[in-house]
Amino acid sequence: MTEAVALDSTPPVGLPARIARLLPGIALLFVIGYAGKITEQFLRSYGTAHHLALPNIEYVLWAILFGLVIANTVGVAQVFRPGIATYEVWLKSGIVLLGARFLLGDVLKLGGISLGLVAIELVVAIALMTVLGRAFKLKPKLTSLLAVGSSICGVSAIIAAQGAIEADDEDAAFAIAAILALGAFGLFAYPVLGRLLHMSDHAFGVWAGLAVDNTAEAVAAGALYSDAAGKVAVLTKSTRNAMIGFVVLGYALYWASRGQAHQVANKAAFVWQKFPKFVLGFLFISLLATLGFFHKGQIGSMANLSRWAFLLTFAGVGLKTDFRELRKQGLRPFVVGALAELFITIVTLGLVLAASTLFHL
Amino acid sequence: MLYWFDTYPGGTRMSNGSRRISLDWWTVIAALAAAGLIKAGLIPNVPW
Repeated sequence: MTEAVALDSTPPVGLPARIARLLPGIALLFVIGYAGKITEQFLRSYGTAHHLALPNIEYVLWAILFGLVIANTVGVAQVFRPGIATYEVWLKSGIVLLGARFLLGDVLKLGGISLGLVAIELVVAIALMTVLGRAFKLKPKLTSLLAVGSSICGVSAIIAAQGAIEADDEDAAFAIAAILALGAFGLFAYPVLGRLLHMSDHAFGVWAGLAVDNTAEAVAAGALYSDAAGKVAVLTKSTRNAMIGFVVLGYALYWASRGQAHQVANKAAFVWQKFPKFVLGFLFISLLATLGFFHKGQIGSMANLSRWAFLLTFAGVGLKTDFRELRKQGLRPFVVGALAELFITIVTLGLVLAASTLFHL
Repeated sequence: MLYWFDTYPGGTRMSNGSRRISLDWWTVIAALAAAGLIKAGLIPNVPW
């Protein structure tokens, strides 16, 4: 969402000019994502043709890696940046379309289980980050932003909270840098851990949705594990995202009570304003699919369209992760975030393994 | 009156009383439009 701000911050120009500015970056997302898809297909056919047991590395990983290499070597030219910032549009549109692959009953069942786990994760993450922030003498509002970012949905939540608690831009930049770095690490580490622990697709999807901070990284981690895990990760992460309004409201009220932020006049309107609307779109499409509004071929087309949207998203995840920028932000917020994430990883893993036994995930 | 898009999650009320639609809503509108085109048969098959 941060990057998308740039789309509005320029002098007023017509709609065709705005769209034209986005095209180079969107084309780059497509080229990188498609290169990932081709690489996956090439390695698979090469292995089959030469009777080699090559690891089946999904296009997701290739797209992210290609993006990472470009962003951290030659860098991303200014002309591409507005279009690359649209990766979040593709992510959310892809999630809405993915709703066609869920029956509403499954959404409610898995969403209900996820909601219980998300509630526990929220309390643990916020409490832990608060304790660590005090121990490491971070600024209180920076600690609040890190707590919001690690407990709910990364960058979007930090930006939503920054305005509500009137935190400095510098604090938000610190928190975003730490959350992005940890998200990039989690994206690669979680699937490896999941394989080592022989987790089922459902259990891993729930874990990725609960523990990986940024939505794009959570979806990518799930998709790296398996298609089924990717679906479940989207659902769990969306449940977590739906809590954003309540958590940000809590922090807004806390800082307002200390005279360091504006009072919240209408709490219901505040929560609604922060609510991620794409979750409603996802539920609506899922309802239509459950009612038989789409036939099998149409559901297949929507699922494929969702995959194309995610392909652009994953290329964007790699391109926006610039480790040189992250290094500039300093070590302390990152260390606090990393310690908290390590603990959250362990707690959420315990929760998911317990839920797997109870609900046969 | 609808505008292009706004990045603030809830949208923004403009001085003339109109409201800018948030980026979040635009993603929903775009996805629903795509679903509508597929349902109407205007996009018959999306390959992967």
